[in-house]
Amino acid sequence: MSEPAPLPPRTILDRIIAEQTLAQFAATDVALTPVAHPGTQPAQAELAGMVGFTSESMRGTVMIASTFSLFARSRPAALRDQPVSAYVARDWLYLRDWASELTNQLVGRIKNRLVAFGVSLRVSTPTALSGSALAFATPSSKRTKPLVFTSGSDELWVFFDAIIEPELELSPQGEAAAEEGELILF
Amino acid sequence: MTKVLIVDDSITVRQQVIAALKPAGFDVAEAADGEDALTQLLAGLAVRLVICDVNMPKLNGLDMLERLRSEASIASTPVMMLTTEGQPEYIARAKALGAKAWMVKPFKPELLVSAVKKLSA
Repeated sequence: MSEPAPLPPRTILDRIIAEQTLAQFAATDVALTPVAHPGTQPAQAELAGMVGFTSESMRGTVMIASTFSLFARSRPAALRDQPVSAYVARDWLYLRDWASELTNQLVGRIKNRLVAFGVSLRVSTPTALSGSALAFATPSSKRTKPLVFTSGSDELWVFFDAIIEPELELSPQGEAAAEEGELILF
Repeated sequence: MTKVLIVDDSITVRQQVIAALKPAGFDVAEAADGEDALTQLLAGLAVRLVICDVNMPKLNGLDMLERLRSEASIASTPVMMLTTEGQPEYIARAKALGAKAWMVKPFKPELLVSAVKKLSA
C-alpha cells in the first residue's frame, strides 16, 4: 500500500493556527467559536496586533484584530479586575500593549509547534495599532484566508499572511519545543 | 524584602509578574528591554534574580544575558528566562550562558512564584 500524500503546508498551517488561537484565548478564559464562512473584512476591528516572521521556507506577518471589548476580556486573570474604558486614552495604550503581547504569545505557540516539523521561525518584536474601523490590505499570498472566531458579539480575525516556498513540505521530524507554561530548571 | 527585576517590553506582562510576586513578599523592579536592565544593574540596582523576556527591542534577552556575564560587577546575578520561545537551540544557549531556568509564556502565577522563591533563595 502506498503512503497517503502529505497534506499541503497551508492546510497544516491553518490547522495549527486555529488550534493555537483557541488554546491561547482559552488560557485567558475566553471561549471562541470558529466561523465557517467569514466575509473578507471584519465588521468591527478596533485593535490589531502584528508580528513579522521569516524562515528558510516562508516569510510573512501574523495579525490578529478584534474589538476593545475582546482584548479587554482576554487580559491575564490577575489584571482583569482593573476596569478599562474605550473613552479613556491611556486604556487604549494599555490594550495596544496587550494586543502586541497577545499576538506575540500566539506566534510563540505557532512557532513552537512548527519546531516539530523542522521549521525554525525568526520573529520580529510585536507591534499594535488601534482605530475606529480597521480594514486589511490585500494579502501578499492569494492563498491567505483569514480565520475568524466569535466570542459573544465580538469577532476575532487572525491573518497568517505567508509567502511559502513551493518546496516546503511539513512532515513531523521528532524534535519538540518546550510547551506553554512549562518550567525548565537548569 | 527580596528584590527581583522583571525585564519585558510589555507593560501588561510586567504588571502580571508584579501581581503574582508582590503578594508573595517580593519587591519587583522593572526594565523595558535588555539595555534598560543592564543600565539599571550597572548603576547599582541590587537584585536576587532577573526575570527576562527574549524577544525585545534594542537588546534581546539572550544578548542581554551574554553582556551581563561579561560585566564583572554583575556577572554572577541569577537570571531566569520568561518568554514565548520554546525552541531547543534558544534554551540551550540560555543554559550555556548560565541562566537558572526557562519558563514559557503564558505562565501560571503560582508556578512563577515557586520558581522565583527557589531561584532567589
